[in-house]
Amino acid sequence: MLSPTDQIGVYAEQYRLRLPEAVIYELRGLEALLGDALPPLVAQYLQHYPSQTWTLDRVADQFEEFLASIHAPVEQTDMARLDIAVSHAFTAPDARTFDASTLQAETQLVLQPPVVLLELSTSVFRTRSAALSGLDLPEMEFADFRVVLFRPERKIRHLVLADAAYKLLNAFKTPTSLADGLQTLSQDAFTANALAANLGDWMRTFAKSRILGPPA
Amino acid sequence: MFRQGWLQDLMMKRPAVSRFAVPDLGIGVGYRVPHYRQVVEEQPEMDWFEVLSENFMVDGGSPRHWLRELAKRYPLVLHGVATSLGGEGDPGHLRRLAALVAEVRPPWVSDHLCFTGSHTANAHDLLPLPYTPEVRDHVIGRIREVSEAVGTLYAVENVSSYLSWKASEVPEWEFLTQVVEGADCGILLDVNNVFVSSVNHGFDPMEYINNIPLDRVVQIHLAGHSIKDGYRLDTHDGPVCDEVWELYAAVIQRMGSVSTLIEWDGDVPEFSRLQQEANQARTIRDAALLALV
Repeated sequence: MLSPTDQIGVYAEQYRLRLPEAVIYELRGLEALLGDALPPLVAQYLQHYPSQTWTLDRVADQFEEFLASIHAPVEQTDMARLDIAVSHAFTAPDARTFDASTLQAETQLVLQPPVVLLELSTSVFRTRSAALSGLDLPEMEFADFRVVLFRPERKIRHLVLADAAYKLLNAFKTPTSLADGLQTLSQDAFTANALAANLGDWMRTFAKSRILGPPA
Repeated sequence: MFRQGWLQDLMMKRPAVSRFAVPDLGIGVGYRVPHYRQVVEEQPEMDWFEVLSENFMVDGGSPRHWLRELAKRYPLVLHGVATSLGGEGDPGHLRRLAALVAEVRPPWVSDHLCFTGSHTANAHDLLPLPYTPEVRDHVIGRIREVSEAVGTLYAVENVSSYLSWKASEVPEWEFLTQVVEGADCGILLDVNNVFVSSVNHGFDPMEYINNIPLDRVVQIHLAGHSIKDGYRLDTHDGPVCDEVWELYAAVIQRMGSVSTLIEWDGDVPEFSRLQQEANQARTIRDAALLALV
């Protein structure tokens, strides 16, 4: 028979094994980036951010905040943000679709539930894709990237967007008519010109990829 | 896919062993990620599947897809790990569970007789309860609340435990009996958990089996466990051991055939290995039933 201390120790040991594993499962990009340096960070994270929810899916949600609090390098905070965005997109409500050829000025559109817009300072999306495909990690690029995550069916994909396309998508965070969405961007001459030149292609891509769609 | 052998046909003519009008689904296994595609695309022989409720209590995406596809092909039952019947309960969890039950319409839903943490930290573990009248009454209230929300038969599972509370006033089997009779709910009898706890706490597993209302058992769990230094740990990462098979046979001889589920969650093997384990359970169940006939 175990002593009382040892009895509690069984549960403590299971916690120490189970929770870090669950956190790391949600941080697959960061795991590829940091390797053996990640588990000590996860242990530290769990000390400061014990799980307070019933679902293990959300156990790593504050990891970016934690990394920022310890002044971690920007590629680490970017990767944590990307990992968590992927986790949310994975189980978000399914996206609805629309036919871009039937678009009217008054058509109401909205970003679909799995879509996440990310402003990143590093090319962590390339690192993550390579790591999950079993490829060598590319050299990290430090620049401003506008990225949209989306899930046309069950697999999550991403696109790197031009500034104007990213601004266009931002206009549809809430249900908005196409005309109103474009109106908000027309005051910026550069954006307006880019829109005029590319709007058709972009809207076809956003429709086909189920990035934009009708409100639920 | 509903397997009915001659022996089971014979047993189906006997009076129902359970006081609840639930089907005997046969022998099933847990629906786990490595097997989703194979199960859906190849439809391997299996009587039924148990799915972990929380894995599918999400809005959409891949998990819901694989659940919908499974439900088209096999009988399934929902089994949770996070309701925390001994705790305060989470309205968000209950709302999502009720929505899932409404969609899947399983013959019963289950979770564990335990708590999972406090409002400041969730241990994501099945923590044993103190067996006191206050805790009993709290758990009965929680089971009634959850049963009403899900609108279907609810069953509670006995957990493996490594810790006992000084405050406990009755043995586990008596606490379980008081809870299920007070809440008028079913029992998911985990035979492996009875055995593991019997070793860890030094009681006779047959005393446990002989002192719970077997007519409330709607399902049995079987699983493998690990032998640690001074205790047994419920790891679900290997085959069922001989002692647990013997205990399973004794249970079947006392109550007849009941839906039985093999749990294998760690080091998940090929699906064919799970089928072997399910066939072993079927062989032992049928031999136990034959002794009755």
